Amino acid sequence: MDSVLEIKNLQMSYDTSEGPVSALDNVSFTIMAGEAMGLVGESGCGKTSLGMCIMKLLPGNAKITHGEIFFNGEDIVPKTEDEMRKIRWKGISMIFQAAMNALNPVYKVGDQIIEAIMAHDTIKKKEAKEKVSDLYKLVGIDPKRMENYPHEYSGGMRQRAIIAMALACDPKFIIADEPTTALDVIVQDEIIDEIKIIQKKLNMIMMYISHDISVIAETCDKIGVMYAGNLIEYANTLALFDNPLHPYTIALMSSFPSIEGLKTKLNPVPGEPPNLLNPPKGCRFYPRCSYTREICKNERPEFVEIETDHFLACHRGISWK
Amino acid sequence: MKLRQFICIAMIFAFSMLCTILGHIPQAQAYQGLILPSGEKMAPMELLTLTPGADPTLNQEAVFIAEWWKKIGIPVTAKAMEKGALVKKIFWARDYDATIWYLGGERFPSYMQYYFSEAEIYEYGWNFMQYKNPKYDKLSSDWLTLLDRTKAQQSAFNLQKIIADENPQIPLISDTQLTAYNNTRWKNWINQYGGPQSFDSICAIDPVGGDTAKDILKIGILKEPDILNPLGTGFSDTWTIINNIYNGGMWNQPTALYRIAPGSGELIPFLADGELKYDNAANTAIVKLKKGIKWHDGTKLTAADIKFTIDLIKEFKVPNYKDCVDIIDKIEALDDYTLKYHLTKKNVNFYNKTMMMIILQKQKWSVIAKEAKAKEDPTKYISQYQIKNPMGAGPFKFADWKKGSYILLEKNSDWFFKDYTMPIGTGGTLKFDLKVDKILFKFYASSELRTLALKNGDIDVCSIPIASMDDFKADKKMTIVEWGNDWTDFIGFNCSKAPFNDPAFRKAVHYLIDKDFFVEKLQQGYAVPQHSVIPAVNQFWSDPKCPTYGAGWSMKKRIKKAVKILKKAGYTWESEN
Amino acid sequence: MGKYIIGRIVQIIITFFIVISIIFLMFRVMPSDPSSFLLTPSMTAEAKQTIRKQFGLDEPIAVQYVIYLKNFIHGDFGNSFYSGRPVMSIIMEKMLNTIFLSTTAVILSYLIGIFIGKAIAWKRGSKAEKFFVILGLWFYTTFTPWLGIMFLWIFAFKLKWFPLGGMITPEKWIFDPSLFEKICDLGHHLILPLITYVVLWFGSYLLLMRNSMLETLKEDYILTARAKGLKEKVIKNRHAARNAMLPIVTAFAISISFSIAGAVLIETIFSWPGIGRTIVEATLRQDYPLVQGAFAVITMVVLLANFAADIAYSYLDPRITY
Ligand SMILES: Nc1ncnc2c1ncn2[C@@H]1O[C@H](COP(=O)(O)OP(=O)(O)O)[C@@H](O)[C@H]1O
Ligand code: SF4
Ligand SMILES: [Mg+2]
Repeated sequence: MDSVLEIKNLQMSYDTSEGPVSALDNVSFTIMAGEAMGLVGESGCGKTSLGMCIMKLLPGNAKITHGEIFFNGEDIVPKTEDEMRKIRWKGISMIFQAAMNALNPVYKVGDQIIEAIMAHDTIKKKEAKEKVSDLYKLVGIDPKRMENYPHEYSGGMRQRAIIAMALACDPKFIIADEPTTALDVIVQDEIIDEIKIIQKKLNMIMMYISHDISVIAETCDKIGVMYAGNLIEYANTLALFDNPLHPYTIALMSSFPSIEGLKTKLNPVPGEPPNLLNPPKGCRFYPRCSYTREICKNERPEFVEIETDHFLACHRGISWK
Repeated sequence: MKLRQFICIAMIFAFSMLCTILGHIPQAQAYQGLILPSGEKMAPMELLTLTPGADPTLNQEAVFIAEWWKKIGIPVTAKAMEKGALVKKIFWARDYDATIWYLGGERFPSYMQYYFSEAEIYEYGWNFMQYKNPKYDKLSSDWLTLLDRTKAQQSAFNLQKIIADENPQIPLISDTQLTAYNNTRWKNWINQYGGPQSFDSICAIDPVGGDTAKDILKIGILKEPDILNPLGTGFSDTWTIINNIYNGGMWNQPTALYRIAPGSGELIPFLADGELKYDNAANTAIVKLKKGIKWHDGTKLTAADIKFTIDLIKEFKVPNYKDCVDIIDKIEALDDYTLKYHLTKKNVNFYNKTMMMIILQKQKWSVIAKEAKAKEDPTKYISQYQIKNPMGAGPFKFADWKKGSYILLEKNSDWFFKDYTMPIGTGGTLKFDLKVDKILFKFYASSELRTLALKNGDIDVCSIPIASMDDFKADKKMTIVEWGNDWTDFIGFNCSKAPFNDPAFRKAVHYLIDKDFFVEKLQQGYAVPQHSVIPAVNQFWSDPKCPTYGAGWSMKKRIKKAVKILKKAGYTWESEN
Repeated sequence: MGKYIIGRIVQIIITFFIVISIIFLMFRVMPSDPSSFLLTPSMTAEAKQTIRKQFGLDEPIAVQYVIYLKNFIHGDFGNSFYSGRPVMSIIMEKMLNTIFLSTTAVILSYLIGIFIGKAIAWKRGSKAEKFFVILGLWFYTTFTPWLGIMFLWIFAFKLKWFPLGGMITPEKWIFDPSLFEKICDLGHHLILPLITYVVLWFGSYLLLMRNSMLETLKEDYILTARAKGLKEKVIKNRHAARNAMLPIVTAFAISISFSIAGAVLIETIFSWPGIGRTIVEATLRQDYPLVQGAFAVITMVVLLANFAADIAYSYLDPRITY
């Protein structure tokens, strides 16, 4: 299998008035063709930042300080805005959260999707419209609703439209950043199922971001766990559930009865995540870790493949081996 | 409202509060708490005046006078009001003690009669001072019937003497008008009554350097006239323009059947041919008309036009000209060039107003009159009639009026008086060589801009503010002409109630007013102190011997004099006891 | 929508009547008598009465009010005290001049303000942004007469590039120039007051637009638009500016009203024969009918501008439905 997305040692920070915020550090992983990867971690750990790095849609104060992002074998980090524009939506697209004002309130929803298609493919408006109509059917909305404005849609319908929009240019890779967070539970499940089906059907690779591990477990082939800007563990869903290695992941799992079971709040460990303005020198989990050792304080654990397809960043795990 | 405007207003407000507070702190003064002869303490009073915005000089005068009067214990404050409010208070309600006001503007000062006449005490009559003096009324009515000029002058002097002694009003100062002209454009300006922009002057000036054909005289004016109907409620700015088209006008009276010579008050024949022949017994007058005077359209101006004008004004009761026609019982055109007036009573208004009034062309105005008669309010219709193309017999023809920008007049080459030598009363003469080809009246919204326009060469002549004097004096291209205004400021007293019903009191406060101080400090010398009701510039009628009430005295001496008068009249002071 | 429009029109008519009634009362309650300005010194008592009667001033207030309303309904604003001309014809004549200057100026400052505001918000943090924000603030707070007089002094008086006020050069017009020359002359006179106006006005639009644009740029749909790979120009104009404009539409209606207030100063400084100057002069002369008429027309303009803004807003923002 080919790797479609490969990230190596990604490091990114935001410039703020108080100093640089180290939002991503030591992030490396690979997603293979057809795979869905889930990214989990508590709020503020850098999931969105990672998604935005891949789209290169970072705000003005953000800077990728180190690392490479290979998409289809090409490093996109050094690419210019113009080059990125071509990759966006056609190569990598994104499913935004519907509660966010992701749709422009003054244009018809259909037109906003058509606009995306026409920005990338030289086709007639009529054809684009037909395509949107097909997409609407795919996500389960009446194509007539294309003529409506966003405020005339219900929340669930808006989310489906956003999914349709993300699919508009047949992207190879889709990032879904907490697409269901603001929806009510029943609609959430429907949408998650929808996404899962479509992903398999269209055979895309996907990065599904959520702070809710149960959602990820349902949807994804692989899971990446993030903590305070670090990717700390990365493995196949089953492997991770069977054999979590990082103390943070272990805590996460223990508070999570079973895959099918109840969803719980993702704060399994006492204490607060570190301030990213001034993260701990060694392991960023060190202040909260119950397995901590001397080395953890001063030395950053490397992110290594500890078993086949199972990556880990923890001194304890490494010494186990 | 923007913040800075708010701050500005707040600061002005705070400042005026401060001034008020400071003004109320009593100062140690020799004379405090004036007690009237009746034994009552004098109640606080206000000296009314206009706001600084409306007239800074009048406003300042009141402030200073109040300060001076306070020195002898008069509890007075100056109070500024908007013009309309002031008019209502003094003319309508008569609810005041003393006010600053102004009067003048008439070459024959008939106001000497109506301003002080008991008959004008009624609501909104002119005698707002409510001065009652039967002897004066008799004298002033007689004055109006004196057709002999020397006697009339003597009588006018007597009237002025009475007013100066009795002080129902105190004349203050009359400001000097400043007109500047561009001396690289026009020369030989005449500076007589009315200043360089007067009718006579315009007809007499010569271009500098020849080329008359193209020369336009450009005059900057501030108020655009809204109507060019001489019967309408026009303002004096409008007359500056109309005078040049018609051969006559109400206020400035430059050209008509006769003109008044400023120095002698004599009638000088203009359209009239020779002297007016008055028959004392029959109370009729014969006036001959010069032959060959033409209207702008080429038709002859005849006695019929004059008869028509008088009849029209009588019939339609046109308010502005009532004075001129009320005294005429009947007018006959004996032939094309002879008129016979039958008068109802002897009245100098016949000389000074009827002979000076406008003449309308019968042909044109009979059409308008006919239309007017069919209307609900013929008087209104005729006096507000929009004349598109005013026509007269004057030196200039109406050419164009671009609303908001200019009025253009063109030379009337067939003007009867072109190259005519006009006696101007003081013995001199004036030649109407009529070198101005076109007059362009340009309208400006502010006197600052107009002054800049004059310096810039956009206009040739205009009035300038005192503040620009130094600037203009330094400019070689500019010549400044100073001329006397025929208006004067005065304080009018409410003579119907204490304490100003007491002539002694009025006299005393007159002594406390330093007019020379106003001339120097408020007008930088560009004014003349006035001692008579009739401004001194009106040489023939103004009495040069009116008492000056301590001209040149120090304030100390003035106070002493005033106190002496008051003590004699039975006034006392709280501070003395 | 139809119902809403009818409702609004009724509302406008009611507001209009309230306003003109207030205007009527305002002038009658003022402690001065308008006829005092009509009366000339040598007028007899009878003549004064005649004048008062001519202008209906001797009627009781209630009767005057009824006549006033009746005339208004017939579109008759009466005749000016000063000139006797019908007020309506004076206002129309002056209004045209004002529209020629003020409305051009407002629209121009609006466009310039929006254009620059949009651009600098997009280039947030750049030197250009700082420059224009300071410039905008400075002009916004500049004292109008000061700036106008400075411009006149420098460009008209010293450099002689432009005429010293006025709307036309009489010296040219009296010789009956061609239409082209007339237009050039008008344009020449228009420039200085127009620039003054624009300089004073564009600052507020610029700051408004910049702020609105910065707010809009934080919106998620802008991120969506970028993610979709749209061109920068499309994002800036179609997505950001279009939405940022919404609050400015209301501001535009308000500034049409303010432009008339601004006209008072600018027209006086530049001797521009417009409605602003007319109001000032008419107020000083206590020319009731003219001031009343002018206020009534301005009230109508303001009400209609707001109405138009509301309608425009509902077209621009589909979320608003009436
Ligand atoms: N524009 C920004 N400027 C400065 N800091 C930011 C910015 N965006 C995000 N961050 C910081 O980066 C960290 C990661 O944020 P984010 O990627 O949004 O986390 P998540 O999506 O996992 O909740 C947080 O600590 C957040 O405060
Ligand atoms: S590296 Fe050390 S501190 Fe960090 S998670 Fe592993 S054991 Fe805990
Ligand atoms: Mg997030």
